[in-house]
Amino acid sequence: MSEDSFEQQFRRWDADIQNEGRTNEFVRAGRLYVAAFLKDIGWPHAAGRQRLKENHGLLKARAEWEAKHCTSQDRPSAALDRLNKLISEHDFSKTLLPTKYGALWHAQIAEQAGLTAKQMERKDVRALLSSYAALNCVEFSRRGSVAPEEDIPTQLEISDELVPKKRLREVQTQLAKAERKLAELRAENASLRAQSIRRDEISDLIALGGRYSTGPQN
Amino acid sequence: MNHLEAEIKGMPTRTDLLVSYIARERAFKGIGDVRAAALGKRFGTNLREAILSIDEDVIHIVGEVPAITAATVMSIREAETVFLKWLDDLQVNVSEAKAIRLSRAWGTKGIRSIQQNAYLLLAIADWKVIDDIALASGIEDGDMRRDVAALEAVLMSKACLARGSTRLPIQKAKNQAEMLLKRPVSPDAINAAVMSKAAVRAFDKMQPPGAAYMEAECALLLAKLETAAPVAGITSPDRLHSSLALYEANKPFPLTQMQREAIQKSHSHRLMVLAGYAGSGKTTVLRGVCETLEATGRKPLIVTLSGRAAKRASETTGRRAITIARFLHDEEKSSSLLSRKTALIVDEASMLGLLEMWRILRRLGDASLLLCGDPAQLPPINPGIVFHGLAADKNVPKVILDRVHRQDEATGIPALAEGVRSGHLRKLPEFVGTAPGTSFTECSIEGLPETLLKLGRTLANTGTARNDVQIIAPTNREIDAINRYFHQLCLKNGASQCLSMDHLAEGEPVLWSRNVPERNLTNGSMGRILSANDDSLLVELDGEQYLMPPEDGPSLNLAYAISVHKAQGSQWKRVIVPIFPSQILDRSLIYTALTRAQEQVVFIGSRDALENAVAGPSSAGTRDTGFADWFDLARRKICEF
Repeated sequence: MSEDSFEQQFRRWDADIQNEGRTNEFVRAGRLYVAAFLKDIGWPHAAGRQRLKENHGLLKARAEWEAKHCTSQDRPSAALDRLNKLISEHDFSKTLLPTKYGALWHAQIAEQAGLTAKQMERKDVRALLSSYAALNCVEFSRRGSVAPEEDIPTQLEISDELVPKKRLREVQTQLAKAERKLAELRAENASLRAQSIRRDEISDLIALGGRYSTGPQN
Repeated sequence: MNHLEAEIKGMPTRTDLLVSYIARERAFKGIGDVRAAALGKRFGTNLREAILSIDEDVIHIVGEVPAITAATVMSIREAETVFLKWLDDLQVNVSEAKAIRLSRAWGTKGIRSIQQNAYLLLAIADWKVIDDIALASGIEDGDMRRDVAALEAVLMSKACLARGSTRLPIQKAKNQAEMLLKRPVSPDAINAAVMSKAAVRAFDKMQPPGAAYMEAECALLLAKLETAAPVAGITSPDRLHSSLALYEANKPFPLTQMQREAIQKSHSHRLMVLAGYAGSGKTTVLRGVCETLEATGRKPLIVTLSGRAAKRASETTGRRAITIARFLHDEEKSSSLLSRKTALIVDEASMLGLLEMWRILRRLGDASLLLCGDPAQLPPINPGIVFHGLAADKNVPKVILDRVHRQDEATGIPALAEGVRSGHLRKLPEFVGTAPGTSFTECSIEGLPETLLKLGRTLANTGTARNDVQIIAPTNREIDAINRYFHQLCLKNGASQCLSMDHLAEGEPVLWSRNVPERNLTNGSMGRILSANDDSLLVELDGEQYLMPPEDGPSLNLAYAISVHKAQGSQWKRVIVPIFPSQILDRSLIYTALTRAQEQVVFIGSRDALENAVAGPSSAGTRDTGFADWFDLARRKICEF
């Protein structure tokens, strides 16, 4: 099959999924979700990956596709990319990222991934390292032995940093509103129950045969 | 009522007492001993505030729904405790149960109204007491509130409600009110009474508001029912014909035309009145109704006023029969109304007062209603008359059963009953002993107990078992004298007693006078004391045995002689009826007493009193009730819409 026909296949596939409204199924981390794409288009896995790397027509079509359907917000940072790549390599060789005294060795990791100190401070990088540490039962970083209360909390300890502050504030406001509403509804419930009980008691008063209302005062 | 009683019976303030109160009061649903104790431990003296504010920890301990219910109940009960204390301070002698009912119905606002106008307490207390309090509180003699209260008191008195009527002519109400006020009633008093909801003016008469409400609602519900088909549908003629034929095939005698019509109507009408005099075969009809309805998948439910009547109905129809008290209790617990499949059969419906009829109709739901009774019997004990009115109405779907000529004619009782009903009394032979039939034996009121003793011995010697005979006396004077006499005789014979219930002894016949659905005890249940112990009595009532502690003593009464009212709905083989001159003696009372007998009726006493009572009018006819007028009005309004 000619190289051009791979591009044409890609573009035909793109038109089909757009018609079916399935485009989002193939966006992942700001890029084309390769595994899903290959399965959907019916190309063999290894050969398909090779084509996506080497075929000019495909590369162009893919870039246009990603530019059209993937936003920059979906795209992880280049730093994260390199860290992910480093982790994949260690996973492949069944080794852990560099550790020292039972904790991730940040200096070594930065060197191996080609990251600067500033890049290592990025939220997404710290989040990835935190979850990697938790998953692999190692400390995120070595702690000082003096005044542990002065430690900077790790990524996972700063739970509010796992959720954007703005979102947290919104949710907290909604929660407060809901709690106020709940209290109002409970009070209303109690009032309605009292009315219902009173109706039953008035029935009992009617049953005595005489006056069952105080008149205009009530 | 003193402060301590208010503390115990109203809602207490002390934490430990409050905890016990919450645990035991059923109104605090979902909170028993353990939860109440946990609340007490958690909140201590702040328990009341915590419950009222539906504190989060209250919710945590008992759950959200019980917490909300507790807050509701507590706010209502607080008002009631304040009210009880106020009454206590005024030393007002009122029934505490009624005071609580009033405070719960009227709430805090209503209680404030009462504190400003003590006459509002007439809903639950006597004129004399309340008038004294009101005048002492500053209400002047000429105050309109006093005139209104006098009218209200008259409507509740023996002039009206207390004698079974539910209304009074306007002028009569004014005349009676003047006697209370000891001066003329204000010309505006009638209007003022109506405006302040102390009275209802309807059909040119005055009614107590509760009675008017009940009559109007009964009228409306019955007017809707009378033209309706059963919600479950009308049984097809073919199906009914075959189930009726099947029923008749098993009977020793064919059904009369009226009996057949009655059964048929129960399938085609949502409301049916079955008026059957003594010996008319009502039981045969009821059994036929039950069987043919069951053949269509319907469920007959028989209810009666008394436990004995329920037992009898169950025995004669072969179906379950329960008391109305039990029915209302069960329905209230389930908070449901009857389904379309149910056919509610009210036996002995002539015994139902306005209140019982109202309560039944409110729980009817989609069920059909068959009211079965004898309109010649005594009017109900409670005020109002509904069944008699329906039985006399031209348009209500009804069947009046004829007298059936059968074996029991040999007793002569149905014939005698028919005569009494129409005001005629034939000559009765002297009593000779156990034998089917009717008789009369002359005796003085002073000689009554000894005459009864002799008579009882003759019956026993001629084959009558102890439980087959009952003395049914029209007045309390005779009942008390007879019970006292035989009780003394019993004690002289060495019968053992429980010291804390010394008005009773082993072997004596008794009558239970309270409805306690949880213990399956109904007002009117009769039986005998099987044995007396130091601290209890073993009593058999309507076939069931009960171990009764001293607290039950006031509800157990001797039953050598019982009133005609208590005898209604029951039957014995032989009945002895003492008759002496009395204001309450009338033909309906005599008719009711004699129709309690299956085989033999023995009248003893004054022949003149008997003849005069039979010749005079029935007391049911002397009650002034508004139901018939409300019924006509309801029909007109329904037609208009």
